[in-house]
Amino acid sequence: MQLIIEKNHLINKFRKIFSMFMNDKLALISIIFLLFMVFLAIFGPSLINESYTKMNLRLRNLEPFSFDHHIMYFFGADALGRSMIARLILATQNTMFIAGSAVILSMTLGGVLGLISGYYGGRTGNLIMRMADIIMSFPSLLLAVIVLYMFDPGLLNLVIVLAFTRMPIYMRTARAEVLEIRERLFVSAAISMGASNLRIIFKHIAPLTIPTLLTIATLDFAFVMLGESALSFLGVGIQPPEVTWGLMVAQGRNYLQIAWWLAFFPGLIIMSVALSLNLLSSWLRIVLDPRQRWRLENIGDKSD
Amino acid sequence: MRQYLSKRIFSSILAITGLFVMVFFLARLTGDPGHLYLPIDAPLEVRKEFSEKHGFNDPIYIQFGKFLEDLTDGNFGYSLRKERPAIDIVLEAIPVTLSLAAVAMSIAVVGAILIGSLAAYRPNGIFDRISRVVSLTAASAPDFWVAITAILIFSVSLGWLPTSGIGGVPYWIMPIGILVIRPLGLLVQVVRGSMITALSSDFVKTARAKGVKEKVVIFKHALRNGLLPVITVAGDQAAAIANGAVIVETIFGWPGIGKLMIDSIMQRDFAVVQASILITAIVILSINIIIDIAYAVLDPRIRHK
Repeated sequence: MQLIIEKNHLINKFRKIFSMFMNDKLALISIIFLLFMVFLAIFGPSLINESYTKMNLRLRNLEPFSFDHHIMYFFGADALGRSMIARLILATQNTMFIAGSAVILSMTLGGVLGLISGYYGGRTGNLIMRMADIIMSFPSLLLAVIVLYMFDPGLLNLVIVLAFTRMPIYMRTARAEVLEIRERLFVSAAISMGASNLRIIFKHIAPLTIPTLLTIATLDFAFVMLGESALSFLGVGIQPPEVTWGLMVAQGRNYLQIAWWLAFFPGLIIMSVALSLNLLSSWLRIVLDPRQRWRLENIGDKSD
Repeated sequence: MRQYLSKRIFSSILAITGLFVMVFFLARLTGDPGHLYLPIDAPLEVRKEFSEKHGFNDPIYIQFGKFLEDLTDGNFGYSLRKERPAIDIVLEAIPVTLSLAAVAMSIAVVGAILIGSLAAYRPNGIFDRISRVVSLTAASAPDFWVAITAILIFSVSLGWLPTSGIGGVPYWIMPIGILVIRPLGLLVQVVRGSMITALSSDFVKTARAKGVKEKVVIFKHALRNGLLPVITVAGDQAAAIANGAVIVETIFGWPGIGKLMIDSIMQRDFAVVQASILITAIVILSINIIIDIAYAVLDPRIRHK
């Protein structure tokens, strides 16, 4: 009996989320597009035939939108005759992987630092916040260029640098949340029962901050992706033969006058993904805000 | 207020110092500039002499001490590449970037106030929906891609605007346009949000009930209150617009601070890197402090505290 109720509850919850998506068509399109991109990032590279990623000089700078060749050449071919679609799919995996790991790393590190700063306060807390100030007071792009120029601009360093420059937002948000949660009754209860500081922070306080941090992370994914592509564009991001969307734009820049599609399509995809994330995060903000949620819940919902 | 400001200035100085020490040591780790500035077949003695002359042989902490000593005399060191005082090169580049940023930011703020208020007037109306999608698209556009697409269209295909360089009005249009896009997109969202809150507040209802004209209600009552968050966000955009300037200046060949920094990092011209980072950080933090003061002046609740 208990199980059935639980199951119904779950189904209802799903239905609710689904109908909230249906009431915001833009968010619906965004999530479908993003899921498709995630699918491409995970399975794409293993699905494409290797011949499309090999050089084929007869197809150099092949123009897009022609049906004379295989469908994989629908978006044209690059300066070495490689299919643009195949290149874009390979780049999807790298771009998504870099941005995803950077966001997870910066959310974890920034979140933990913010939790500690908010919970302990005092000198430690202030020191951590000053660190956030330093990072924020300087153009992140230049900081990243310096660091990447010093170390090799490899994949790992790129992820670390991107995570580092985005950390302050999570630190500040987590700290602000903790300052408020710390004063609540259940924290005092945990303290009076003799729970250790670490247990209170990670078991009692941290779970409450996660929804806020996740909302920020959705939007931040777009920023990190734009940052990565700017770095790759400046030549200190990912290095060939690896490829990301940003690097494709940079490489296409040299062929601007004879083959516009080389730089155009990867940039268009960067923008579409960033836009989808923006739309999704503005939907999320409404869903997570109880005062605004009715806007999405009631319209056209006849089943209830 | 005074106490708050002095605290703010003190922490800014602390931030600059921290950033600066970090950059000094990071820059030294990028490798020996001798490799870049001497011919590849230079004999060992010449290399030694070069390193000796510029003090690259000393342990890094002694280099740092020497550098601080020079700094107190207002000497930022000499550019290896241009053989001129680094500070002169930086001070030549700063006005270029500042004028670019100032024009772009003014356009973005004014545009955002207009579009955001119009969107907030009827939330979920047709104008609001269009402006939401357009402004989110603007906030999501990678600036370097927009820049080269714009060059492709307006310079290569149509031949209306010059591809790069500095000069009269036509040279300004594309760099400014590209610098405006991202902040404009973000600010429209902020203005819209704060105007919706302001328009549904009690004092606006009171004003309407008194029979105040709608124009006065919007521009005098609502907008003045709705603008406060915009000022804060515009301040945060100061560092972001410097990011944009790096890209725009690199693509359009503007001799500003962003291009200077990228070039000197690539050429291991340490003195110029340090001077430009120090000056940029000072400019950005001063802007933030000025914004804090503006905030207090505009908001009577803070002013009278």
